Amino acid sequence: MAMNNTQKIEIELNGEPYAIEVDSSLEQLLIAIGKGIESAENSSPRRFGAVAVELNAEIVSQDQFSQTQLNDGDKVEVVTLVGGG
Amino acid sequence: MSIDTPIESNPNSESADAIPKVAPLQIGSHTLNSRLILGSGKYDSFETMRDSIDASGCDCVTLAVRREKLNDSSARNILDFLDHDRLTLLPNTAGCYDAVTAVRCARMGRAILEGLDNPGQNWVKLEVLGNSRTLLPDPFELLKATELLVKDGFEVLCYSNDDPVVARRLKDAGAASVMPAGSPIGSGLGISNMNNQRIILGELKREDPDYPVILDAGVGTASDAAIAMQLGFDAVLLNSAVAHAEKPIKMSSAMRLAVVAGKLAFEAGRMGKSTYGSASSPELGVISSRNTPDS
Repeated sequence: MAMNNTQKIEIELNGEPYAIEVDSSLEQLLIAIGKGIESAENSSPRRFGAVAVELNAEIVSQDQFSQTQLNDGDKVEVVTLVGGG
Repeated sequence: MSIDTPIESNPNSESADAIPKVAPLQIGSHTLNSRLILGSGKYDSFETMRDSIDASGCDCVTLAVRREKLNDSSARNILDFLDHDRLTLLPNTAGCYDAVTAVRCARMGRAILEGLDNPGQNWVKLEVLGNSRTLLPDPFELLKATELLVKDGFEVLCYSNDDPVVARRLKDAGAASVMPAGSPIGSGLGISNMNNQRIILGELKREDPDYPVILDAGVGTASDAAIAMQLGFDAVLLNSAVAHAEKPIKMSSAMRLAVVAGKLAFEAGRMGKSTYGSASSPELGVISSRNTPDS
């Protein structure tokens, strides 16, 4: 298999298969699915909006997204708040 | 009885038109000014939800944790319609059927609220269901999840069966509040086992009168909420009764008044019941002399 920068791994994202480039971080995944907020003010806590992320059933805090590398077969959950009782 | 010595003063004598105030409610580290906790689900629109929350006067709203829809940036976010700088959000674990999933769900809710810097990040409405038709809790998984979440530092508000033994076990496991179901979620049947609720209140508050016990689920209309508060519940948590009313905003106002009315009635102490009548007008001085016997 030729190594090039289009090589992909497959993860499970919210229960569905999802292909992403090797060496992607959680931050890159969130930006790819439209959950990264480009903010001019560089104040960080809400950069990803109202989401929580679980990697293989463990919560990853938002300040760890950029340092968390994804591996083939990882199970990722990206959740938010919805109406409920 | 002497009519010259009043035993209580009128706390609202200067504002006859205002809704009377009741004492704030303490649940764990949270202080709520309203005795009504409103769910945010099932509304026809986010606008109706927002206006119903405003009309309710509540300061705590429940929310569910769900998977993000991918590649759907057009979807409106409920948080844009919730004043989450003012409201304390209470994430739930609705839809979980086992302790492990419920704990994961609670941690996800906490992580989201941490990102929002909302004070609700340290508590959770724990719901662990046992049956998808009745939506009644699985008490065994519920207790297990309570123990795990308490150990993890959560203030746990347990949606419980209306079973006094289960309620006691949840309190002993460290639940910040036990919230027995009046009847199944979304059923609108009100309180189906009044005596169990009385026993739960009596047992959980014995030697601990400030322990918060909340009626959660089953409320159908304002009188149900008032009855719950009259029984001695500290608050009422409801969603469908407002969201599925013909006019949700008006029903929300009714609920606001009902919990206050019920709380005041509880504090006032109801009169005794009697099988026979007791005239409110004096018998002395009646103008006619009666000549027919009681039939």
